Amino acid sequence: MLQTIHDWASGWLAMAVFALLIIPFAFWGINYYFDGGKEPVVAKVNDKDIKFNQFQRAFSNYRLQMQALVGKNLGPSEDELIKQQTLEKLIESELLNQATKSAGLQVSDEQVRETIRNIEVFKGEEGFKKDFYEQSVSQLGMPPALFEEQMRLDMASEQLQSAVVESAFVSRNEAEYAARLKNQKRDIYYTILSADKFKESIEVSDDDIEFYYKDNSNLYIKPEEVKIAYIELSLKQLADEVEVNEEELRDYYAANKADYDVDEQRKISQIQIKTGEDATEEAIEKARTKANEILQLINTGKSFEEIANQYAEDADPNFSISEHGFLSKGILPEEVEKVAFSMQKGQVSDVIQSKSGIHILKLHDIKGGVANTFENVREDVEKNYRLLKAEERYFDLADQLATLTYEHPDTLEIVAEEIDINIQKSEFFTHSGGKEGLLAEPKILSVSFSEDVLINGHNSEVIELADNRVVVLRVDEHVAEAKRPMNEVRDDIIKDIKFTRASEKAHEQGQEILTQLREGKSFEMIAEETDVEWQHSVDITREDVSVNRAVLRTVFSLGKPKGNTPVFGGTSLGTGDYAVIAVLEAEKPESGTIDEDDFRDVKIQLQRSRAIDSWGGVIQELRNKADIRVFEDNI
Amino acid sequence: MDVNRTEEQQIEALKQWWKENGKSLIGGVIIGLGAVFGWRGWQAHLIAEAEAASNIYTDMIVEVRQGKSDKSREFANKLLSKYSSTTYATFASFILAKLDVEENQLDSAITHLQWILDNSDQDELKHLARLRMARLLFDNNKPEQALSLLNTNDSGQFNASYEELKGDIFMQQGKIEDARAAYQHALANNSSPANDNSYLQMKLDDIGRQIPQ
Repeated sequence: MLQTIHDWASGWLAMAVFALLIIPFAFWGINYYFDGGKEPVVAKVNDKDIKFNQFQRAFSNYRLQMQALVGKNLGPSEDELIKQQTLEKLIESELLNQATKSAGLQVSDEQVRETIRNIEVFKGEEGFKKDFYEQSVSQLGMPPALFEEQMRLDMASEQLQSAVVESAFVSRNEAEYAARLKNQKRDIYYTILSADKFKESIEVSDDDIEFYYKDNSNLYIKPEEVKIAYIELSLKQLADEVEVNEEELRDYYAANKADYDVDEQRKISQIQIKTGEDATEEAIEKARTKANEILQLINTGKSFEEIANQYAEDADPNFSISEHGFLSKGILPEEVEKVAFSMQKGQVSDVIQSKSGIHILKLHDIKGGVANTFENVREDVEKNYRLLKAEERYFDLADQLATLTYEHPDTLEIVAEEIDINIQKSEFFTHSGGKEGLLAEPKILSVSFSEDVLINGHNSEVIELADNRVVVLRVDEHVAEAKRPMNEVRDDIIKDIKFTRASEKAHEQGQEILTQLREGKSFEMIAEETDVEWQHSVDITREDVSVNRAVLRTVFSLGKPKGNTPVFGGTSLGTGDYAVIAVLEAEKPESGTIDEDDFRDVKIQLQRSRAIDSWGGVIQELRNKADIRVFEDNI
Repeated sequence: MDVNRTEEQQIEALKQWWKENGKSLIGGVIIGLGAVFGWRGWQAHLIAEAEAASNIYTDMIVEVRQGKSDKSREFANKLLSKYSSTTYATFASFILAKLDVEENQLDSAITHLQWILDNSDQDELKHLARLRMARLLFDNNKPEQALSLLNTNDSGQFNASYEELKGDIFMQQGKIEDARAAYQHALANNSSPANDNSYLQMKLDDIGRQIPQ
């Protein structure tokens, strides 16, 4: 059973999802496939129908993509969104097909073939494979000819898009102006009027509480909760239950001894002069002479590094010098390996000839190569032995678990008895689950609240978790979302009322101060009278981190002071506090003072946004001119 | 005998009819077939021409994406000279205009965009060409020409971008209130969620809020 699930996931489904992710837009608008019949139409673009089947196929493909992207099951509200997006995409792609057709864009068979040949998913190890391509496409439920036709349409749309997008530009003037705006600075006075100080004096009556609770009952909701019963099967736990005796362990060790020996590994440097397999006798001789020359230099005391420096300059593309890490047997060419594994540490080899060229080796270090004894590795042996023995049982039990919970969807008792594993129960939990253990697993959460389990009350399917664990669960108790009674949330209500009123007071105070400032009262005077403290910040930029973000945003939206009169303004903060702001000076960098890096960044950003705008405009224009009708009932 | 005579008469009548109408019938068939094959041939020719242009276009875009200006120009000019009746020539003009702007050849860039306005029959592309051309006229110290280009034509769904550019021009001319109105209009019409409005917002912020009296 598990094996089938595994095969299924790593087989065609995974392949389909993979293919979809790589060529995302190739599957929209399957135009010529479903002709005739009285199939429902979901939308009409000018005179062209978008048929239900076509929509359904695009929808399920898109849904798969999203699921793979999000990594969990999608709920009904997400499905609704995906349906809308699918329809939009289909309409857009149909619009583009009509536009490119009327523009006379033409993609040749050769261009289509070339593009398909270059799609990664259709490539095997030796490049494009026709059989494999046809098979993969057919698995997506599409004959290759249709796929190619779709490809042709998409490529034509892509031509239109690239013409619009790649030709977007930003002139020097425009980029400079934007950069100057972005690098503006301000000198400001500001103060943050705390809402907290008003809270103490605010009296909240019982009537207030009742009134507020009635008015804002949606704020005091206890979310939906469930408690689940489940059976968990874990390979690790089964392994712990395996009984072992010394003799079996020794037998197991004897049979798998090689696994516990550490291979001998050697660390070498290699000088190589490549000759290729079909090199002439002459070329090999030449390489050999050169190698002998090098060997002599080494024997007179030159190090490998010195050789490398000297020969790198003579720029022979066949000459290479490389330092390998620790290598096991089976990696180097046979002839080279033989020498490498018989040398002494620190030794330099003679000249070696292999199929690929001439080599000189130096051996730096040796490790491993010691045969282990049972006593040395007993712990590992026991662990592996246990896992091996447990595995059979694990798969067998998992199979029974799947079958029995499916056959008896309304209870876990039967399976629990049959496979002798206890039913466990969780605490109550909400959609957001718990911090650790099973309730921190997203799969468990989404299944627990899924329709089949929560509403229909069935056992879940087998849920596979990391570390070879499987779980089947059912809902034990369910508490629907409910309003919390007023008495229970009384303190929260008082807090909320105080917060609201205090922020109103802070806002009022802010308005008063702003009025005084506009009437010309000085900062000092206001500070004395109302006990506020002014912050004075100089040369702040749009990205300044020393000033509160909300204050900063307001500062730069207030405009520039005219002459000596500051610009005043204020804003409420999320904390309930109110900020009063005065902009004393605004400075915009002079033209010509923007540094090149800044300029380039702004230009790239603007150009991207221009490209998006241009393409968006083209699509909107096509949409606007077309006669588009959507038949919601058929979706 | 009777029957034979009738047959003979019939054959005779047929021969007579053939004598009178045969030539026109054959002529008609030939003309008909000629028209069918001629039309097909013409269609095939158009397709072959478009495919050839399409190939050159694909090569050009590869060069454009790699930032190779000279090669890109070579392909683009070929499209303009040999395939000027295809939409690919319009695409080439767009690309040439961009390459010109990168090399600060504003006049030449304007010419390419003008070519699109004169030769293309696709509204969406013309709206775009007009917008880009107005931008370059403004940069080339011809704000009035730019404004009249933006004002006298329907801007289709590019309205927001047109208004933003108008705002830029008004700002430079010192018409602050007009600029504010244009920017606000642009912001309100810029509905697509993909749009990045941050610079537009900065421009508007730079003018400042209208302070309530």
